Amino acid sequence: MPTSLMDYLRILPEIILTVFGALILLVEGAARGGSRGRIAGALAFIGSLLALAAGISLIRYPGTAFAGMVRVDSVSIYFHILILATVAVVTLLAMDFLRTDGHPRGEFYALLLFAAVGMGFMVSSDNLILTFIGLEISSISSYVLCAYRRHAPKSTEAALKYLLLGSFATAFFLYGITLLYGASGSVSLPAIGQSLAGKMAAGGLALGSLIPLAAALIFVGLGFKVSAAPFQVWTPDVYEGAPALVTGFISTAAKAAAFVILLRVFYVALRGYSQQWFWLMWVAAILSMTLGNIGALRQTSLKRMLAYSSVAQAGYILVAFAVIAQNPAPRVLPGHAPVSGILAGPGVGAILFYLTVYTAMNLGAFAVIARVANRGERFTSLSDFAGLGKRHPGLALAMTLFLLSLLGVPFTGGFLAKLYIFQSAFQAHLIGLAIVALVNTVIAAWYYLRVVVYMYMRPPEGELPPIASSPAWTLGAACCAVVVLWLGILPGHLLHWLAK
Amino acid sequence: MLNLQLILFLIFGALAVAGGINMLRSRSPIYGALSLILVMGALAVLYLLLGAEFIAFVQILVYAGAIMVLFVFVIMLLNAQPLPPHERARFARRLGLPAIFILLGILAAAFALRYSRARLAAGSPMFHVRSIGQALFHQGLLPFEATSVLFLVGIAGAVLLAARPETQSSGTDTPAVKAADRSGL
Amino acid sequence: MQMPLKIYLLIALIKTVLSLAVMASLIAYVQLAERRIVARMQSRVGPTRVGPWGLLQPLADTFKLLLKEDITPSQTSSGLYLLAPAISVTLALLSIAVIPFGPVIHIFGYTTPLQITNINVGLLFILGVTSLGVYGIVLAGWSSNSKYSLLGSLRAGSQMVSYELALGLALVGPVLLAGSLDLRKIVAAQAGGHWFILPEIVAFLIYLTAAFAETNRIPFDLPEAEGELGAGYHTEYSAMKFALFFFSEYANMITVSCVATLVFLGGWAGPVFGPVWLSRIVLPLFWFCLKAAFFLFLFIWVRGTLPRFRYDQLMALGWKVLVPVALANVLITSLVVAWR
Repeated sequence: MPTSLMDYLRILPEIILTVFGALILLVEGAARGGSRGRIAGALAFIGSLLALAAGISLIRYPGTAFAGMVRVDSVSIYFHILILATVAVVTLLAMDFLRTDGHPRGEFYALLLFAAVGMGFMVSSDNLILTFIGLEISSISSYVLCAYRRHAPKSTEAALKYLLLGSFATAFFLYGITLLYGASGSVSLPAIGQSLAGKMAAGGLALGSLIPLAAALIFVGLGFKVSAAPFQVWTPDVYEGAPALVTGFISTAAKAAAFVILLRVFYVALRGYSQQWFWLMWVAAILSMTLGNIGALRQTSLKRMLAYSSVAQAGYILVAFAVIAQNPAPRVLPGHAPVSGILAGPGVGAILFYLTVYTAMNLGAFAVIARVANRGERFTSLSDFAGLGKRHPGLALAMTLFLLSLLGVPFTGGFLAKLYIFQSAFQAHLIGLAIVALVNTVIAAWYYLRVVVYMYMRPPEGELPPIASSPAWTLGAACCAVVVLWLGILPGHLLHWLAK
Repeated sequence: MLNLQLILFLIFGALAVAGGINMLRSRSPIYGALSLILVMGALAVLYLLLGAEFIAFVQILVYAGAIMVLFVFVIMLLNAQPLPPHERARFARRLGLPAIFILLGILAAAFALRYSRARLAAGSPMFHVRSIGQALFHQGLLPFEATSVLFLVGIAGAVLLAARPETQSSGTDTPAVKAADRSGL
Repeated sequence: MQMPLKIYLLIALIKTVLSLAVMASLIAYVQLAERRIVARMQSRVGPTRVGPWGLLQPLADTFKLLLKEDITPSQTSSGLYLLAPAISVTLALLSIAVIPFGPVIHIFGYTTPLQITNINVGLLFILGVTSLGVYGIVLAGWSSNSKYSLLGSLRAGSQMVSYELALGLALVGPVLLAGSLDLRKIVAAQAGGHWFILPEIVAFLIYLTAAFAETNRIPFDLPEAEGELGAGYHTEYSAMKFALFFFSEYANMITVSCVATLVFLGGWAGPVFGPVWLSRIVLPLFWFCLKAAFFLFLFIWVRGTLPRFRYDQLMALGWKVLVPVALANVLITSLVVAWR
C-alpha cells in the first residue's frame, strides 16, 4: 500500500523536529567559538514552535497513518502539544544557561529535539514496534543529555546509571512485547486487544497465563521510565547528577510520554485483563507515593528532594490508573471510535490534567534550581536557597509558586489536579487508596514548605555569587508559572477541552 | 534430505548453545567475545537451514562481521584482563539459572501451543529478499525510518561524549589532534 | 535439480576439488607472477633458476616452507595462536564456493552451472565471509602476545571495518541496477555488453580502492608495514603457519578480482564462436579468467608503483571520501532506477 500525503501530515511534527535536529547538527559542525550554541538555540526554538503548530494542526487530521502504525487521536494530539510546548520552554530556559554553565555546544538542542521525536512517536504509536523505537530514541537522547556536563563526575555517573538501568528496563519492555506477540499474534495494539477479547469470548485462552506475565514485564519497563516504585531507585542519583534543566525535561516530558504508552498498552490492548493489572497499579501507586514522600523528607539537596517528589507524583498518577482498571469503561473497541474513545473512561481525564500541571510545575521548579545553582551547578543544597527571598525576590516567588503547586495548595494547578484524582478514586470506591494518597499529601507538606521557610526566613549562608539575568529564561519560567496559575484558577478551558 | 537437515540442525544448535554457555562462564573477555561470535555463526547456519538465506548472511555480515569485530577490537585495545571471581557473580548464578529455565519453559510452551508441526513444516514465505523488502518498506516503513533517527541520536551522542575537550586556542587545534591520532595507533 | 542425489553430490564434489586445486595453483603462480613483474618494474630479473623461466619456483617455496622449523613462541595463547591462520585460510577459500566462473553447461547429459553452488544472495555471502576474514588477522595479532603483532592486528581491524563499509556500499549500485543479489542474475543483467562499469564507474573506483584495503595490499598494507611493525600481525608466525596467512592474502585478492569481474565487467561475457564446447565452455571461461587476471595484474602493478599511506590518511580517505561518495552514488543510482 503506497503512502499518501495524509500519512506524512500525521507525523508532521516529528518530521519538522527531525529536520531541525539534523540542521542543528550541521550548523554546529560548522560553528566556531562564540557563535556555538547561539544559532542552534534559535533554530531549536523555531523548530519546536513550528512542530507545535503542526501538532495543533493535527486536530484537523484525526485517523491512522502508515497502515495503522500511527494513530492521531485526542490523546496523541494532546500530548504532542504538551511535549512540544515543554521542548520550546526548555529551549528558552537553556539558551543562557548553557553558556554560563560553560558547555555551549549546541548539540544539546539537537538531542532535545530528537528526544521529542521519540516522544512524539511514543504518544501517537499504535504499534508496539514503533512504540519501542520511539522509546529508544527518547531514552538514548536522555542518556546523552544527562552526561552533558561530562567533566562533572556526578553528571557522568548519572548518565551511566541511567543508561545501564534504562537498558535493563528496555529489555523487560521488549520481553513483554514478545510475550504479548506470542499470545496474540500481533504487535498492533488494537489487533492485540481484539485478538485477546476474541479469545476470551471463545472461552479462555490457551496461553492465558502469558498475559499477566507480559503485562508485568511491560509494566516493569515503563515503571522504570516513569520512576514508579519499586523501580525508582535510580531516580535520585540520576536527577541529582544530570544538569537541572535536563532533569526538568526527563522528569516531565519523558514521563508523560511513558504514561501514554502505559495508558495505551493497558487501556487498549489489555483492556480485558483489567482485574489483573488493577493490583499492579494499586501496589505501585501506594509504594511510589509512600516511598517517594518518605525519601524526600531527609534530603538536603533540592534536586534529590525533587527527585523523590517526582516518584511520589508518579504514584498519584498511578492512582488514576488503578481507577481506570477498576472501572473498565463501556467496551468501545478502539477501532470504532478513533478520536474520543480513549478519553471516555473515568480517570483518563484526571491523568491528562495531572500530567499537564505536573509538567508545568516540575519544569518550573527545576528551572529555578538551574538558575540558583549557577555556574557548574554548585549551589543546589537547601542552605544555598536560604535568604533567596531577599537576594532574588522574583526567583523565590516563582519557586514558592511551583512548590506550593507540587504540594497541592488551592489556587494552583496542583490542587485541582490532585482533587480530580482523589475524586475519581472515591467515585470508584477505592477509599483505601484515596486515604493513602491524602496522608501522603500531608507528609509532603513538610519538605515542600521547608524550602519556602528557608527562602524567606533564613539569612543567606556565606557569600554567594550573583545570579546573572536572562531574558529567555524569564520568558520560559513565566510560561510555566502562567500555566500553573491559569489551571489553578480557571481550569474550565482545559476541562472543557478534555471533556470534548 | 530431511535427515541431513536434522543432523546439521543438531550440530549447529549444540554449537550455539555451547557457545552461549561458554560465553557466560568465560572469565576472559576475549574468549567471551569469541564464544558470542560462535553463537552468531551457528545461528546463521540455523537460519540457512530454515531457508532464510538473506537473514543468515546479514546476521553474519552485521553481527559477526561488524559489531563483534568492534567488540574484539575494543577488548584488545583496552587489553581487558580476565575477571577475578566475584561474590555477587555466585549470587547471580543462583538466581539466574532458575530464571533461564523458567523463561525457556515459557518460550517452549508458547511455541508448542502456537505453532503446530504442520505449520512449522510448511515454512514461511517471508524469507526472500523481495518479501523482506516489502515488509520493511511497506508495512514497516515508519519504524524503519524512525530507526534512522535512533541511529543519528546514537552517533551524535557518541561524538558529543567522546569528543576531546575543547582547548583554549580553538583556532589551531588541528595539528594537535593529528599528532594524537597518529600516536594512538 | 532434476538428477539423482548421488550424481548431484558427485558433481558437487568434483567441482569443489577442481576449484580448490585450481585456486591453490593459481595462488602459487600469482605469487610467482608478482615476483617477476615487480622485478621487471624495478629493473631486476626475479626468480629464474628453478625450472624454465622459474616456473617451478612455487613448488620449491612450498617445500621450503613445509620443511622449515615451526616455531611457537612460549608466551602465546596457544589455542587461538593455532586457530588464527586456520580461520584466515578457511574464510579466504570459502568465498570461492559461490563464485560462478561461467554459464550453465550441459555435460554428459547433466546440467550444472560452472560454480560450486548457486545461492540467491551470493554477493551477500561473499561480503559476509570477507567481513569475517578480519578475525584471522586480529586473533593472530592478539594471541601472539607481541607488540608489533598487536599493533598490526589493531590496524587491520580498524582498516577492514572501515573499508568494508565503502566496499559494500559500492556494490549496492550494481545490485540496484541488476535488481538481485544473485551473482548469476547480476551477470545476466549485463548481457549484451551493458557492463556496469560504465554507469557505475564511481562505484567501480570505490570498490577497487576498498578492495586494496580489504586485502591489506599496498598502498594500504599498514597492518604489515615492515618499516614500523616488523611483519605486523604475522611477526611471530613461521613456516607453514606463516604460509597460510600468505596464502589467504592471495586467495582474497583472487576473490575480490572475481567479484569485480562479475559485478562490473560482465562476468564471462565476451565474443564467442565455434562449436558448442568452445563457445559455451572454453571461451566464457577464458574471458572470465582474462578479466580476473587483469585485476590481479593491477594489484601487482600498483604494488610496484605506489608508496604506502600514512595511518590517518588511510582513515580520512575511507571515512571522509569513500563512504560519502559511495552513499551519494547509491542515492543517485536509486533515483535513476526509480525513475526508469
